[in-house]
Amino acid sequence: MNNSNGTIVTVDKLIKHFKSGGSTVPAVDDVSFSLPRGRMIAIKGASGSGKSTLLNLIGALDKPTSGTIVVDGVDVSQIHGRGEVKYRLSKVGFVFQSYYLVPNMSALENVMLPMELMGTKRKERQVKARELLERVGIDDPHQARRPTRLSGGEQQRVAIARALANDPSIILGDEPTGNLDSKTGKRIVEILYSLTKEGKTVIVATHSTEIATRADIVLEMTDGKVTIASAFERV
Amino acid sequence: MSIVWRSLRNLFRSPLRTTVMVALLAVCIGLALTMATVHGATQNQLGNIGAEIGTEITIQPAGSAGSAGSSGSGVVVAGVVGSDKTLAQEDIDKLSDIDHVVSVQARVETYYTGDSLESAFELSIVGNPPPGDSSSGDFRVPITVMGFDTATKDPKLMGDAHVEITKGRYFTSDENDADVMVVGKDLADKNNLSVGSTVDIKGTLVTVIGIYDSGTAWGNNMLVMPIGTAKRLFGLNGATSVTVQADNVKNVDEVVASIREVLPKDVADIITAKDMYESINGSVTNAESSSTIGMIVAFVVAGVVVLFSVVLMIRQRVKEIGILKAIGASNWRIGLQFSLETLAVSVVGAIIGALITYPLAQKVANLMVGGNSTGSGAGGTLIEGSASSVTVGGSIGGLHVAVSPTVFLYALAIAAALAIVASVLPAWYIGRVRPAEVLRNE
Repeated sequence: MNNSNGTIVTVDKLIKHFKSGGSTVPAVDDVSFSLPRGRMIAIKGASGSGKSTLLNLIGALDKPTSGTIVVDGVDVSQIHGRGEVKYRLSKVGFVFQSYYLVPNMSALENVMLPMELMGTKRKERQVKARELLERVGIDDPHQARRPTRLSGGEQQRVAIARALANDPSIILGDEPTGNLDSKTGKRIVEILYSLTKEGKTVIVATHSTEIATRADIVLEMTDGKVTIASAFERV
Repeated sequence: MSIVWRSLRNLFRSPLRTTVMVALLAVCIGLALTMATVHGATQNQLGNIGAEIGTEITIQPAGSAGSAGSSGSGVVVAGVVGSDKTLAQEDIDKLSDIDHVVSVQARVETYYTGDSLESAFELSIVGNPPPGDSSSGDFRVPITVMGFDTATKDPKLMGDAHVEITKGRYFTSDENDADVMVVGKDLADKNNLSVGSTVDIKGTLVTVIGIYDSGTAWGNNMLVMPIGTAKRLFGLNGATSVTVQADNVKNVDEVVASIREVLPKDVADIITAKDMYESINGSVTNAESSSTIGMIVAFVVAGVVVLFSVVLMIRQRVKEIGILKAIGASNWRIGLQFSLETLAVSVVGAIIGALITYPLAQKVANLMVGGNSTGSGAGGTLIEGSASSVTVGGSIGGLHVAVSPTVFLYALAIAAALAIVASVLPAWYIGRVRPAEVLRNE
C-alpha cells in the first residue's frame, strides 16, 4: 500500500476526538495508512467505528484533533478558509448516503452547481453536466426534474455526476448504497468502480459486502482504529 | 443558474413563510414610512404655523379689545364691533413702511339695525343689544357690517370666515367708495335679496353685487362693503381694526416695537398671535415627537422581523448550507445567497409598505394632531379654539400630509439597510456550520 509514486492519500497518526457530555470520545484513534491512486478503497466497520469521521477528515469536512492527512500533495490538516474551499471544490467529490441534492434545483442544475462555484462558463458547464448525467444513465427528460421527482437510485447517480463535475482526483462515498435496494446499489457500485479506470481514487465507507468485494483495498475499522487492511490484486 | 436567480427561486420554496415575512415587513416599513412622512409634514407645518399665525399682528384702538369680548387666550381676531373708537388713517398709512411688514389690512366693523334688513339670527343667540347704532326705535337684531379696502385680497370676516362669492362678483379696486355691497347668503335668503337688488342703508340705495358663503352662520349674516362706503354711510373715521402681517415669526417682536413708535399704548392695543402660535405649535410638535418615536420603533420592529425570519430560514436550511459547503461553496457565497433572498423579501415588503403609506399617512396624522382636525385640500385643515370658540384657520392647525413618490426611494433604502443588517448574523452563523456535523447520517 505504501507506494510513494502512486500514493494519493497519506494519513499519519490521525486522531479525532469528539466531546460528549463531560467525556471525550475517540472517533479516529491514532490511525496511519497510505492509499494508492486510481483504486477503489472500502472502509468497513460497524456503526460508530469511525469510518464516516475518517472520510470527513480526508474530505476536509471536519478538522482532526491531531495528526496529518496529505491528499494529492495537499496537507488537509493545515488548510483553512479559501484553501479549504478550493480543496473541496477541486480535489474531492462527495457522494452521501442521503444524496443531499439541493431540493429546489433540477438534476442538471445540481450537477452544474460545483462548476458554477468554480467559475466555469455557463454554456460549458451545461454541456459538461449533460455529459456527466448521460454517463451515469440520467437521460434528458430526467435531467430537468427536481430530486423529489427522481428515484433513490437516480438521485444517487445525479450525486455521483455532481461529485465528478470539477474532475476531482478522489471521490469519497459515505454509505452510497445505504438507502438503495441491492440491484440499484450494485449499479451504483459499478459506476463508482468504473471511475477508477479513469485514474480516480474512490474511497467508500460502507457496511456493504458488495462494495467490499468489489474494492481493491479494504480497511476494517473498529473503535476508531484501522484493525485490518487487505489489498486485492485486480483481475 | 445565477446566484440571483437561485435566490429568487428559493423564496418560492416556502410560499407561506415568504408571504408572512413580506406581510410583516410591509406593515413595519409602511408604518416607518408613514411616520417619516408625518414627521416631514409636521416640520413643514411648524414652518407654516410660524408664517401664518405667528406673523399676524392685530391693532385696535386702545381699550376697545376688552369691550369687544376678546378670547380667553387674549387673541382678538374680530376687532371692535360697534365701537366709536377708530385708528387714524394717517397712522395706518405709516404701518406699510415698517421693516418686515408684508401687508396691512385695515377694516371697519359696525352694526346695522335699520328697518331695511332683518337679521337671519334669532334674538336669543345674540343676547344684549350692542352699542353703536341708535337710529332704530324698537330693538332689532343687529347685522354686522364689515368694510374692507377693495385692494384686500381674500378678506377675512370674523374668526376664520372668508368671503367666497357664490353669485355675482366681489368689488373691483375702483369701487372703494361705490354704493355696492356683497351680502352673506343667510342674510340674502332672509331678505329675499339677489344680485342687483338695492337696499336703503341710512338713506342711500346700495346695490347688492354679490352673494357670498363664508362657511359659518355668523359670517353669512353680514354685509360687506368697500371701506370708503362703510365709513361714509356709518360716519366712521379711520379703521376699527388693522391686521399687519410680518414676514417671519422671528421678526414679530421687532415689528411690534416699530408699530409702538407709530401707535403708542394710549392710542392702540397691539395683539399678536403668540399664545395661539405656541398652543398649536405645541400640538404639532407633539405630533412630530410621536412620529419620530413611532418611526424608530417601526424601524426596530422591521429589523427584528427580518432578523428573526432570516435566523429561522437559516436554521431550517442548515443542511443545505452543509451541502453547499461540502461541494465547495465559500461562506461568502452562501452568505450572499441568503442576503439576496433577504433583500428580495425586503424590497417586496418595502414596495408594499410604500403603497400602504399613501392611504395611511393622512389618517395617522389626523390621529396624532387630534380628533378635531380633518384633512382637506392643500393645507386646508382646521383646529378650533376651545374656550373662546374662536376659529383659527387656514392651513395652520391641521396636518396635511402629501406622500411623495420619493417614498419609494426611501423604501428601497430601508430594504437595503434591513438586508445588510439582517445579513450580519447569518454570515456569522454560516461561518460556524461544520458540514460534517450537519450532514451526519440521518
